[in-house]
Amino acid sequence: MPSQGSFSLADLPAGHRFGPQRLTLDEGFGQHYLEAIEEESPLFRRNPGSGGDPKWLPPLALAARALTALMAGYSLPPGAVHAAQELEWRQKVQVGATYTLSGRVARNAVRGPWRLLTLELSVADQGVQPVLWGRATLTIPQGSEGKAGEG
Amino acid sequence: MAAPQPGQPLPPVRKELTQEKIARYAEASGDVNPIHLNTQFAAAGPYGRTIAHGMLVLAYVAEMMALAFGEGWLAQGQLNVRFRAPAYPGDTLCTAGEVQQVVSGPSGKRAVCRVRCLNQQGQVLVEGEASAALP
Repeated sequence: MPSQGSFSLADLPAGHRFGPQRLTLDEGFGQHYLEAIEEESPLFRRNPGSGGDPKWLPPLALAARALTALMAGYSLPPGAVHAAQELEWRQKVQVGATYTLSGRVARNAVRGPWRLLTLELSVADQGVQPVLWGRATLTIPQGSEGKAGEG
Repeated sequence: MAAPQPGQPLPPVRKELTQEKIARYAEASGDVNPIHLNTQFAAAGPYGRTIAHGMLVLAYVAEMMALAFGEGWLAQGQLNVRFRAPAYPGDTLCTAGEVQQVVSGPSGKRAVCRVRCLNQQGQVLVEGEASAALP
């Protein structure tokens, strides 16, 4: 989830769109991500068992990086919580591939003491074929909006 | 890989969570929200301390699915989860899950599973459903 930036996600109206923008998952990112999550499966090695550079990446690598990239420049208010996540993908995520990201604010509404913010993410490959779709639901305590997180 | 059966458990994944690992994930993902990294900032927040990224904990659930279903999970998968409680540095996390059913659809067969991640106290941190394509 984003944190740095001058604009608060909580201030964006439903329908606000992000992107499109391009994202390439290079080998450095791939290696870094796999190490960060301590993923050692041979699924993600070019030459299983030999410690070679990864060829495929976990789908969540694309989802996580895409969310961050798309919402760079925006911040979340203090107390914002990632409440739910939906993801669906239709292709393997490949190291070195370039993707096109887009997103939107699907919902920004107040429910009692909380603000519910739903962000949708779409990722397509260079052939404009859908690769991944996601929906993140955040809950933000009322009264904390507009106070960007300290960076 | 034998056809999964309803009730079949998924291979658990166990991780020891540290602030260093959280920081490493922040750097890799680009999510540098101070609630994950800045102890002073987090101390003033709702949890009183830094917490792990929800997507990091979810990555462990995804690892469990990859172990269970291999390339079918990578090629075509779904996740639908709720984050119930935060994971803190010092926690030991363990994923769990089981096959609920095998369904057939336009794109072939899928294994639909209940999935969750718990801490060392048995508290559910993440729970929901995941599905993977079957050969």
